[in-house]
Amino acid sequence: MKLTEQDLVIKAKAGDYRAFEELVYAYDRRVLATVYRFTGDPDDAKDLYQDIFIRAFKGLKKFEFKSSFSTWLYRIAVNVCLTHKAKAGKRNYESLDDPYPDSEDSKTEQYEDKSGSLSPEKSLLGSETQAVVRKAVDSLSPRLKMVFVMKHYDGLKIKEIAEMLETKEGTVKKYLFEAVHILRGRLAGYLEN
Amino acid sequence: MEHQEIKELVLLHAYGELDGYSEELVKNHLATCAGCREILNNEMHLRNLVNTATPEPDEKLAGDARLQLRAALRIETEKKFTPEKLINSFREFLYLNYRPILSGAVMLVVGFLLSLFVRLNSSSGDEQNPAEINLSDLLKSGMKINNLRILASDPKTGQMEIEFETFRNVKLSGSFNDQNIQSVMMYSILNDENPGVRLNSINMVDSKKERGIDKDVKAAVLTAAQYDENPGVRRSALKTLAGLPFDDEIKTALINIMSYDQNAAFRIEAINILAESQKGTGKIDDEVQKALRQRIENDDNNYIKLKAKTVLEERNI
Ligand SMILES: [Zn+2]
Repeated sequence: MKLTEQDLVIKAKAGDYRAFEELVYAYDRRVLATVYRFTGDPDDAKDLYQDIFIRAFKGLKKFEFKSSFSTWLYRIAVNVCLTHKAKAGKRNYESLDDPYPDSEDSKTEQYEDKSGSLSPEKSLLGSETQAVVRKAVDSLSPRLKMVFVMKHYDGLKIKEIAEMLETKEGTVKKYLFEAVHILRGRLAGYLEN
Repeated sequence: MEHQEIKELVLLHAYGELDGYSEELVKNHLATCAGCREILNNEMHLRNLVNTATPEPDEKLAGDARLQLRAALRIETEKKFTPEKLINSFREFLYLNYRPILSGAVMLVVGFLLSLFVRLNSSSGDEQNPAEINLSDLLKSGMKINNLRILASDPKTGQMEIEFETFRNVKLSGSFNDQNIQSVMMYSILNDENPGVRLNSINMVDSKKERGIDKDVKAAVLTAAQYDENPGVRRSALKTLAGLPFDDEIKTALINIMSYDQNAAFRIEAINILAESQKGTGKIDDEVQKALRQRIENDDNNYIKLKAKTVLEERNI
C-alpha cells in the first residue's frame, strides 16, 4: 500500500523519520538541482541541501497543510539559499541598490583579465566561457540570482517564484529584468553575433 | 499597443509567461517590428550562452548529499532522544547508522548496550547463565566490545562459543539463536574496527542464516552491505542478503547499492539479485523498474546500462 504525501507528512510530524526520508526522496533531486545551480559549487550545494532538510525536519511540527508540502519545502530552500554565507572572498555581487553598475566599476575587474586573455568567439561553449558565465551569474545579488536560477534554470513560472519568495509577481518580474540586464552587461563580449 | 509598451512584454514572451491575448499581441508586433525582433534575438542569445553553464548535479553528488543528510539527521534525532525512546526506535535508529560516520558509532554503542541490557534483564528466567561474569553490569559500565572471534561452532546443534574483548575477554556460550550472541554479532558487524572481524561475523551469520536471523542482525547486514567502507565486508554482506528471503527492506538496500555503490561489480551484483528476485512474479516491481531505468540513463558503466536494459526488456516482452 502506497502512503499518500499527506500520510507521510503526518507520520513524519510524529517523529517517524523513515516517513521523513520518503518525503525527502520525493523532492530532494529538485532541491539539489536548485541549490547546485544557485551555488555552482558541489560542496556548497551539499551543505545547503543538508541545511534545508534539517530545517524542514525540525520545522515540520509547525507545518499545518496551509500550502502543499513541496511549496513549504521550497520556501525553506529559498530562505536557506538567500541567507547562505558564501565563503569569504568567493562572491562578489552587486547590491539591489545598484542594479546597473557602471562598467568601470571596480567589481568588474575580475572579468577584465578573462575577456582580455581569450577570444570569446573561439572559446564559445568552452570551459572558460562556462567559468565566465558562472562568474557573471554569481555576481548577481542573492535575490536576483535566486529568481534568475528558478526562472531560467528550473523553469518555474513567475507566479510560483513569487509564492516561494513570498513576494508579489511584479517584484519577481523586476528582479528578473534586473538580473537579465546585469548579465547582458557582464557578458556583452560573449553575446555578439 | 505601442512599441515602447510591447518591449516590456518581449522578455516575458521569451520566458513563456504570457497568456493567450498578450502572447498574440506580442507575436503580431514582432512580425512587424525589427527593433523588438532584435530584443528577442538578444534574449535568446543570452539564454543560449547562460545555458552552456547550467550546473546539473550528477548521481554521485546526489548520493553523497543523501548520505551526508542521513548522518546529520541522525545527530539531530539523537539530540531529542531519551534512552527509552532510543530503545523503542532502535530499528529506525540502526537504519540511519552506518560505519563510515564514526561519530555515530558512540551512540550506536549506547543503543546496543541498552537493548542488550534490556534483553538480559528480561531473560532472567533463562536457565542458561549467559557468561561467567555479570554481563549486564559490564555493559552498564560502558565497555567497548572488540575483536569478536568464533571459537567453536557445531553445525549440527547450532551451539557455539564466541570470544570478544572488552577490558578483558569475555566468553559467551549459547546457541546462534541466543539473543545475546546475535546482539554481539550485530554489534561486531557494525562496529568492530577490524574489517576482517566484521567480515567473519557476517560470514558466521551467513552460515547460520537458515536457522533464522534476528531482525537487528539482519538490519546490521543490510547496513554493512550498503555502507561499510570495506569492499570485502560489503561483498559478504551482499552475498548474505542474496540468501535471505526477499522483502521490501532487502529490495530498498539492493536498489541503493545498485544506484550508489562506487564499485561497479557490486552494482552489477545488486542488479543480478534483484533480477533473480523478480523471477516468477507477474511484473517487475515499480521501484525496481524505476531504478533500472535510472541506471540505463545515468550509469557511467556501459555494461551496467546494458545489463539494466536487458533485465527490463526480458521481462516486458
Ligand atoms: Zn517593437
